[in-house]
Amino acid sequence: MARITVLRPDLDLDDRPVAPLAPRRPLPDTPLLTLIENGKPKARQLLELLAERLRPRLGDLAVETFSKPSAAKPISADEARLMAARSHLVITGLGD
Amino acid sequence: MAEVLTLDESDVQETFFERGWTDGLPIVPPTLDRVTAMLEAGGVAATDVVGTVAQRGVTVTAELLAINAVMAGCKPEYFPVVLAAARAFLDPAFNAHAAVTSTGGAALLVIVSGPLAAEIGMASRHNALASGNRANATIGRSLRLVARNVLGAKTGGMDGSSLGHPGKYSFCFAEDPPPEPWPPLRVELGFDEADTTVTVLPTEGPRQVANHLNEDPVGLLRTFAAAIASPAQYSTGKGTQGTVVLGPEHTTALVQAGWSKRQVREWLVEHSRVTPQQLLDAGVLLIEGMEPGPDGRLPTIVSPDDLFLVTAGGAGAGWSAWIPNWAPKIHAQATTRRVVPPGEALPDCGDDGCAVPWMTEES
Repeated sequence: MARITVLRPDLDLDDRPVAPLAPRRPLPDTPLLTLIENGKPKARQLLELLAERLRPRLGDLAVETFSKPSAAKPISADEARLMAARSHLVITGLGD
Repeated sequence: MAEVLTLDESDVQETFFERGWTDGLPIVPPTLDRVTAMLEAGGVAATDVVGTVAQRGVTVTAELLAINAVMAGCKPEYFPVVLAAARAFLDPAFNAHAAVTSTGGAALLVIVSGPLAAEIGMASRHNALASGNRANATIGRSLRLVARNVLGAKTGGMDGSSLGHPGKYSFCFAEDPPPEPWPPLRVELGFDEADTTVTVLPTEGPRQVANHLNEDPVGLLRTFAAAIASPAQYSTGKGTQGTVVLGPEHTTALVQAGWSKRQVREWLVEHSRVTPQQLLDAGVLLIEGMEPGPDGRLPTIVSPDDLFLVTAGGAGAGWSAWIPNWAPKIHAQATTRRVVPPGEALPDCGDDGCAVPWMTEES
């Protein structure tokens, strides 16, 4: 049986570096919840509903919404850093 | 260097199928000799970076591209075109991350404009958009295999296409040089007549545009505008880009009537604008941000510069095609690269360096 040597056409995507999660901070009396709305239809309404459902559990909750200009593009690293510095909780979602 | 596998020759196809490395069709085994020949034809080293997709932490090297081009069935002389196509595909403006993931299932349309297309035997006339030509089929397939194998765009993985369409196997054709005085696509895009360029667009499937009897240019263009403004298309009224492939009869009618390409593009952009009511009548609900302009209508194509008018196809009864981008321009857009002839010297940068085309604001 003839043997043949071939090159792999793929990348091992599991080898990629993964950014660490931000450390969890204790919640203050008035935590800031940031909603990252991806621009898909009904995304804002869905996230705002989630925020309302969280209110009884989190008390005096401040809510801000960040709307992405394009659902197909991620937020920038600077935007992510800013949100991480300001927010105590962030909710986002993917998909249609 | 890529990892190597040594296999019984009779097991190669099944191994590649089992590992999910093919598009469902058999491949040419990527041996080192074949990959090396591809790299030499492109004038690149294995480790040269063709582009990156930052969102995925992925770097596409010339070697990975060459491996997938061999698998697709490319001849080495196609590789400079594959390189230009991959560089365009990996331009951040193209947004490959979204284009190969979306539920909309975009194809990677490759349009080659310039003398190299004929030199490597690409089809630009009969069946230009279809099967039967090795260069068209395999250059287009190379990009799809890269998306699959390097970007992870596989069913069940990062390719979320709800249906997809046949153009996702391969979608590539050459421009047929337009009759005088119309300029070819590359010249319209600011390149030299002697250049060969590759324009890549993330697209839905092509719609045949049939008009066999009407030689009146406005009558003809109304048929195109009707196709472009179809409410069933996702981007209608949302501002996208797209490609009109003009067959020879339709081209002749427009050229003989004295229309320039620019005039055709302007007319089609203007007449493919839709009213909100046209969408609502078709059952399409408006989404946030769809605000009509002063004319009470919404744009389907953002501007005349966002409509690519390309001549191709063989003689017949009067067939053309409309190929919409799969999403509004805000999400992804067409990108173009010049094919770099192997061995071409780098620009003389002097003592202080210089700008090269992919670093300019236009890119």
